[in-house]
Amino acid sequence: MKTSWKGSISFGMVYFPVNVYTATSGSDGVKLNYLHRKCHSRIRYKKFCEACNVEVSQDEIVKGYEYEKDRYIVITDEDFEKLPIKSKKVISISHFVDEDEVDPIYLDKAYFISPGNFSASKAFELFRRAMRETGKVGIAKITLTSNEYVAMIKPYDKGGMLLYLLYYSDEIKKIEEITELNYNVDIHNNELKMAISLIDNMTGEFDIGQYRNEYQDALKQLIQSRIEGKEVVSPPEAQSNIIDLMEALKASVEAAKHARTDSSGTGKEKSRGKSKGKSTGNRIRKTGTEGRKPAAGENDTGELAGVNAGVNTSTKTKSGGKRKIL
Amino acid sequence: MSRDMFEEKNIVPMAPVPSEPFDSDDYIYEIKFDGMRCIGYYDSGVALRNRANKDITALFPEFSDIYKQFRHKCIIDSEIVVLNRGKPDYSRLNKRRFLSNSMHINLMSKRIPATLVVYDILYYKDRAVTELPLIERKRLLEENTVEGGRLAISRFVRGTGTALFEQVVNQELEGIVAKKIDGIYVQGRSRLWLKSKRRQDMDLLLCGYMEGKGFLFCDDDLNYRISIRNVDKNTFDFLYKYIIEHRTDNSPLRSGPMNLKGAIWAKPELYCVVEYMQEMESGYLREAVFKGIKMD
Repeated sequence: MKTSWKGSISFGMVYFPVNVYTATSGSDGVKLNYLHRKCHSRIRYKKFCEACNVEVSQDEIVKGYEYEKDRYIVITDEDFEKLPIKSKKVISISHFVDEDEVDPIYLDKAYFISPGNFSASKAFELFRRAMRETGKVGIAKITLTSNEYVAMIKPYDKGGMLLYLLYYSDEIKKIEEITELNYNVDIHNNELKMAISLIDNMTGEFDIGQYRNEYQDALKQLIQSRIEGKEVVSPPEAQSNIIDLMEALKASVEAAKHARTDSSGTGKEKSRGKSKGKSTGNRIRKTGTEGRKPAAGENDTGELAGVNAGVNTSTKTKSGGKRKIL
Repeated sequence: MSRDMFEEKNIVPMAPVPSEPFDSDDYIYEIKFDGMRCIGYYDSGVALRNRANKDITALFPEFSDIYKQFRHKCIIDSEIVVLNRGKPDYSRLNKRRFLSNSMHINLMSKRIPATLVVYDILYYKDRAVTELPLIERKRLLEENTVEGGRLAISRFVRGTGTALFEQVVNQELEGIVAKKIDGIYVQGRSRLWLKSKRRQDMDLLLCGYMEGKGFLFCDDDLNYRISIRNVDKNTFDFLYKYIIEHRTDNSPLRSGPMNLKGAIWAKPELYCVVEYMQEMESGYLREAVFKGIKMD
């Protein structure tokens, strides 16, 4: 698997290198592009400055912060470099907590962590096992390219460790703002019992594998059949058979060989043999079928012709023998 | 019984040693195709592994039924090729090898389907056959294989290596492999197989990019060797991203032409395979083509 980045885990006196991999592949979903309805060309986004009335290129763009309407402070790359980033490429664990203390709502993207090299394996496994025994998870800070994150590190049942990036508390919206939740109802004991027995009846095992994205499946099916339908109109380039190529080469080499042995007598014959071998090669390059014909006239190539006939049935050739080798 | 080679699935494919083309009746000669090496495990299903033993089964859905073309359980050594006008086309294969989206894989398997060219058998019915002489393995392979569809058996000639090589050069194919007729199957590099390539490989380090010239490559001694412009889009994106991520301010080159001002330089750490026709006295590589990132 390709590493997302390499860094180190540090806590207290402990420090060891790790590799970090993204644990999720995003979706295998269909990516659709925007097209112009009229001509089906891609819609492109252009970067445009309204004040100057020109299109701008990437290197003409700087970042700015709008501190009041239409007034900006420009922040340059040098400014960014001066910002204090302590934990660059270091996952520095500040403390450990019980795993169930971390509300799943904070979990963002998941990563796998492995030892960064062979000699780090021991420290890695030691740390992993200790977390497992204690049921604790590590809370850490990390900096990736341009931002600082909080993360949770925990042992993974299937080996290695998991790292979850966490949302900051101010990134979680307030459920109190949903007014429909300000209700007041009475629940009777029997009602609760009935609801619980309903749930018990439908209790099973969690198996994410049994769920498929049926919408995506249907969309893929649609696209696939469109393409296949389309291919009737513009077929992919005809696949000529590689067997033809191999047979042609073999035949011409063997024809040349026979020509050489047949003609070891007189010089006249020899020269004929040579030119024959050469012309076979030339013909193969151009026409193929005709190129093999003289070879089939040679004494032991009947077998080859036989194989070719077999091949012909499996190759979708148009009638008329105009099949091309190359 | 302990697990046998079929279950273990960790075969290191036999690899030929470079050689000039030659003629000998102790050898058979086959066309070396420009594709992806594939060790296939076939019983009532298909498992495909590449040279580095990576599972590539899912990349080639067009081979999912190919086990039906083998009469008995077997392990087969082969090359996966994608054809373009009847000849293997490495850049087309490249369009297949890096896909991960299952729909995209399915789609491409229909648009530019691959062909499996089989040439050796390592396991037959219930046992390894790697100790059998090559010519017997060839016979076994032929008996056990039903050719057709996306499957082809590699043809060979005996004795006439130079003539085959000449043909291969004419047809602009990759090269030939000479195989000792009584040789066993050895895992890894072996002198029992000798390859003669039309073009040569060289491992070079990616060291930069320059508008108009393309990607810049140097050798281990940091001497500039070649620029390559003509790569497909995926390769371009990958190499360009690599350079941006490993960017350095100054040229890492110890020697090189003066006209590389304005190039973006990168730490020369990524080995790439560059194929070329001929190395000139100046060190220039004629007809250089980018072949890929060096995997091992």
